[in-house]
Amino acid sequence: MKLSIPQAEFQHALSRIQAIVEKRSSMPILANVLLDAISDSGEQTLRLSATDLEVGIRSSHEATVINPGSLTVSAKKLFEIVRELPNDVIHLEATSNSYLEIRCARSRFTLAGTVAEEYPTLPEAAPGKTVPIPASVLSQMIERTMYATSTDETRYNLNGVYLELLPKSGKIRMVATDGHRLAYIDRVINDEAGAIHNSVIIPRKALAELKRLVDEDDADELELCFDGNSGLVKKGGVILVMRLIEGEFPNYRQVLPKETTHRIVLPAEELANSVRRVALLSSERSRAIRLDLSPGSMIASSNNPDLGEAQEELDITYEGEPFSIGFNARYLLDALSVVKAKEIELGLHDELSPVQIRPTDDTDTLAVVMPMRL
Amino acid sequence: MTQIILHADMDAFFAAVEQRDRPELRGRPVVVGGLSDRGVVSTASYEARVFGVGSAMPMLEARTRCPDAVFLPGNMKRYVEVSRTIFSIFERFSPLVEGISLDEAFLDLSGTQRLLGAPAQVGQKLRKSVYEETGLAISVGIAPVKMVAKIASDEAKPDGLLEVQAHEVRDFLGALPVGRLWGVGPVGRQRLERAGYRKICQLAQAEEETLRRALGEWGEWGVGLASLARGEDERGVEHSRVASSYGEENTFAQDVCDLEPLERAIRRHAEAVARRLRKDEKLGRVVVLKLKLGRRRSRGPRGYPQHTRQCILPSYSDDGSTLAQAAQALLREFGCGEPIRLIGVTVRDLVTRGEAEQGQLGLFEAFADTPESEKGKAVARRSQLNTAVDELTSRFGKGAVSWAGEALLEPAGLHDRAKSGDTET
Repeated sequence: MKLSIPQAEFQHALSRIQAIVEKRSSMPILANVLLDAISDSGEQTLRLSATDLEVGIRSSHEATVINPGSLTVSAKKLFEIVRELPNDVIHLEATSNSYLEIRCARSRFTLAGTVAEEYPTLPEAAPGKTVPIPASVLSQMIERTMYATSTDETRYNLNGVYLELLPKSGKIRMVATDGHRLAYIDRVINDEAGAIHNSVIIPRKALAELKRLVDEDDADELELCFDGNSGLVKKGGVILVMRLIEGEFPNYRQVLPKETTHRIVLPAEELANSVRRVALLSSERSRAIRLDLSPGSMIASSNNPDLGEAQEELDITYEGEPFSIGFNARYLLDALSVVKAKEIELGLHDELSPVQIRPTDDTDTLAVVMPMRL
Repeated sequence: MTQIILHADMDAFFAAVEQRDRPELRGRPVVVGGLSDRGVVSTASYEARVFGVGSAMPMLEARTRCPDAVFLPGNMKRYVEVSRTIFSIFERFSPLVEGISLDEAFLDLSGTQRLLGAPAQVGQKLRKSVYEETGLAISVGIAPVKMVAKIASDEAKPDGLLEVQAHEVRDFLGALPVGRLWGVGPVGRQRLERAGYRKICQLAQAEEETLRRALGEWGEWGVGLASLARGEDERGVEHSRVASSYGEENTFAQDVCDLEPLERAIRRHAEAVARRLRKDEKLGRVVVLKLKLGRRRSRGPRGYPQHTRQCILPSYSDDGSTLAQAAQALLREFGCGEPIRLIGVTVRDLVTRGEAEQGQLGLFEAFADTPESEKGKAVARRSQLNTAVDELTSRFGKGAVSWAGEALLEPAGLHDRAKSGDTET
């Protein structure tokens, strides 16, 4: 293997895979990146692959390939080296005993590697029909739902975001819940949404990688494809493959609140700031805050026997009977922080029913948070 | 203001109680502990200590060293009774008493001079009261620092008192070996000695940089010890400690290899822990399984490889079955096959019943056909059952009702060890 590639391109490619390579794996080779130098009928590319067996990224980059070949080396060390090199051409060459020689300007490194044959194959997705989706739409959908996934490994079916097609409207929906809160968002993507015929659960780590990919500067439109228990996302020369969560997503529709007695419209940021301030004195374990509603006013408060008390009053348009409801402040803040709207509507029923949080200018998204017993 | 801390420690407590209650034992070596071949010594009377018998020594070794001693299985109930009397005496001398074990406590004497007199006088008065009211000897150490007070009471033994005043602390500590410092066990001591620190004074005088270099990855630990070695420790006496963990463990009379008896032992410990949780109105969420393998790796009581595995329960629990199932799953995951010498179950991350109930409501619990609501009903039924069992136990005594499968394997010691963890800070 012998090739050369511009430093900037190589650094960018290596930084993309850093979150995927396993730091502490039972398979040490998963800490490596697989380099494939390919010279195919005039087209010369360097292909990078990294995987933790659940998620994998493969990217192709234009390069000058002198000798085709493959090698794997520590992804972290290679990145650290390339990051420090000047913006010039980097020459890579596999030397004897699986060493990788890296030369750039007047620097020269040799990095111990492992033969490519030992590297596991990435989860492959069969070439099914792909659905194009704008990066900005996908980014927003992930942002609005991913925070509500469960990190409790015993509830693996909640460890990801559920993606389904809404046949009537032709929109796609992403839903996530951890059993205490839920968030969903519906978006129109295009006429080909119908190609997503199976509902799937995308695991959190894959979503995080996907989010990084859609938020890259040059991201415009991506191709999505699901097949069996694997998924594939294409962005130009970058392919993200993932293993999907096998399991049944709970029947979330039955927990979407049907009754809403009170609707309160509030400036989103003002509410978030109040909750954040009051939460400073809530118990560290429960993060419980209390909302007391009465005509014209909402008082947010917290108290912690070890610390003290906090209270803040907000003017609201509320006409009903006074009532009090408790919440985990973090759940409220998580929901408020991703809404990114000027105004939100809080839908409340009683002190044991969930609150609904929704931007006033977007009815296709909803966050639901269960209260705490006071 | 400098603190004045008194450390009170009964002399050879269990053995002394036996000698007090049975005059024929007075003046003879008495050893209390687990009497089976794998038991360990809980307490040795001073007459037995002459032969080199000490706490935590394997019973077999004690028998070899002092074959003529009287070996007793001990009577925990009796010791607990006596301990209560002693603690009620402690409380007459200070409003702030921190019990460390049945026979040992810290008393805060700061600011009591005007009321009770000079610390040394208070100490003598306390010793006199304990002797007059229980017939037992107690040793007392007084110092401005907790650790120093404890070492002082140790030095005062038997039946003595030693006060170390603020200006004497460094000289007092300096001459002692590093192993006497809190947090320095046999392994730590070796580590320090290899780095050239044998006496506490050497550690106290060490430059921070030199110390870090000498101890490498243990540098931070060493720097902390050095300040302890200079008597710099602000920890005060804390009101009755709040346990942050509850655990039960036992050493088997014979190493156990099969899964089934191990699971029974787990069940037993889990039920015992759960009973204690319910008694104190607490619930826990982290279950820890502790295993000691029978194959010895090196000499000494620490020579048996020890493993712990833990998991987080989906919700806080005080139910023995729930805890047992979690611990049994951990055991299967660990994959036994090797002989096990000791097994234990501990529950951490505790909350009070009030805190647990104040908790977060679930989205899916209100719906009839979800797994969550079924689980909720099962938890409620189980909780009623536990209440009933607890009531029977309180009326007819421990063991009146127990779970099938909670059978007893022959343990090596005189009783299962019930443990409580330190305060959470």
